[in-house]
Amino acid sequence: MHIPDGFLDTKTWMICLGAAGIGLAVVVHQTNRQVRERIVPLAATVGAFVFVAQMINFPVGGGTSGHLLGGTLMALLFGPWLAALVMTVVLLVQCLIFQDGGLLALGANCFNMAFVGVFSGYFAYQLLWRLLPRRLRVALSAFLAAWFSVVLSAAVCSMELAFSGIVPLKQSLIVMTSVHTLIGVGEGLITAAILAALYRQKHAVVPATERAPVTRWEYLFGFGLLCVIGLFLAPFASPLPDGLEKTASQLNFLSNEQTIAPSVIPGYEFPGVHSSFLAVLLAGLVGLFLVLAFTYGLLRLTQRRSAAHEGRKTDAP
Amino acid sequence: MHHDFLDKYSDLDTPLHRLDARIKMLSAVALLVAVVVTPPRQPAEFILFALLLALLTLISRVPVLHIIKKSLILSPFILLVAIFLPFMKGGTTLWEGHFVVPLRISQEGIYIFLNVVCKAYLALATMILLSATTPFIQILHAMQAFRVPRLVIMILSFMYRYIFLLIDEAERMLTAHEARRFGLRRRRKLTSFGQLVGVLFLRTYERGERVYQAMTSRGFDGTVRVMERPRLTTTDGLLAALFITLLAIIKVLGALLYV
Repeated sequence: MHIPDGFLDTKTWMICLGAAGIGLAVVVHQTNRQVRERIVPLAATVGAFVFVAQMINFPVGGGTSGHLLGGTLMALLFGPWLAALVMTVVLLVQCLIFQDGGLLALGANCFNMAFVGVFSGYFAYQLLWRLLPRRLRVALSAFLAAWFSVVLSAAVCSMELAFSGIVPLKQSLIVMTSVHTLIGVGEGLITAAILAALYRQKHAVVPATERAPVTRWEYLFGFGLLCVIGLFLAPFASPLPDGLEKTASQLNFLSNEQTIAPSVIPGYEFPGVHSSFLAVLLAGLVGLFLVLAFTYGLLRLTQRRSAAHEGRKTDAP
Repeated sequence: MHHDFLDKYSDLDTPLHRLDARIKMLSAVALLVAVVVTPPRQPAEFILFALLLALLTLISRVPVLHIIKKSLILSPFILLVAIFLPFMKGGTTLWEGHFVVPLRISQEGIYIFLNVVCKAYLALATMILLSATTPFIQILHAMQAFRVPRLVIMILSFMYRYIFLLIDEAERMLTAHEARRFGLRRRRKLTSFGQLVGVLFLRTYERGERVYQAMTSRGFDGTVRVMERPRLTTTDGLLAALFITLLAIIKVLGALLYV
């Protein structure tokens, strides 16, 4: 899924680089708050682990082999912030030493695998863990979350390729997601197997049975990621794709929360929005917002329920 | 240890190796941008860029075979994505057929395919040359000059050290695993693999804890003090300017030789 240089056009890799830069700043800030000076040795050793674990091939069967990507596993063990930081650093090393993934495409790769990959796996696990029956929930939610994170990263990757104009969206989505549906199964199996092995060891690093609830910053970051994904999708919902180049910078500015509030007004009649393209974009953002609100509500509800069921443990990390 | 595959040839002594890493990185990024913005149907530019890279490789005395070998290793990743391109674009049909689903190769698709593959390989060669002429630590220094967050650079420099240790550790564990797992069934294979990587993870994690304790006991407070980098000389600046002018000339030539 590492995009090489040359596949993305200038506007795409620049948008991705900007998004990844802002994302990295937030991630560094949040991790700093969490682990402080321990962060360097911890992130470095764990990053080296992910790097080496990706080199160990695991026989999938039928003569092919897969390897771990590790985003979801890291998110489950250390939370999404440190996981995103570790994955970013791993991607940097892969790009600079192994030339795996382009330097200009690094922003896009970071966005897909370090941010979308980690956060989607994290949110999926948080949700599934609360919905599934207790006996299976760790292994099964880890499997499904890892699968989901791989497939979503691949889908976002194909959106970026389509946004660059080298492939039509529909075909690239079909090809990329179908290939990664299989790869995701491997990733899910390996993630679940490693997590199960760690649970059996009962090491201090293994997350407590009571999951720490999702914090406000994590929701906000997830929403930011959704906004950028919406930006990639926007031109395809629009009858005026040619206006894209012109408005790309404008859109980047527009895709924040303030602009969503007025768009709830029916008819999308508010000043500054003349093209149907922007209307579609805003409609898309409202849709995203509703999805997020729904997920948030569901998570909050289930969190309260599981807390009531089991009694909150105070020693959870 | 024996893991010189990471940045092989970066310790040679040639003008290109002696050049300041900041200049090299800046030039590499300029070259990448110049290559990536090339529109389809300007193949002349690609040939000129390839000649420029060949000249640089000659100066650096990095074996051409090394660059070819490394780019071949990464080829599957490029071709796997690129192979779908000719089929996905509308336009003049060159070939039509049926294989499970109806397929159609268009002229525009072929242009895009060639364009993307040329760009990808030129960019790949640029990056291979950069890493073969610049030790990783110098790349980190350059990144620091380019205002990459200090924390990220510190993590990178530590991680670079641990990768060697961990590869050795993983190799030993895999050998032991191979020697003992004879005749395992598929399901057991998965769990034993999970345990293998899980134990590798725990060892890594504990090593990180020990390193942290060792660092704290020696007065580590979250900052790493590095020596001053050498200042950039006028020659360095001139070289960078010359290189970027060269790129501009190639771009102009390419635009003139439009097909």
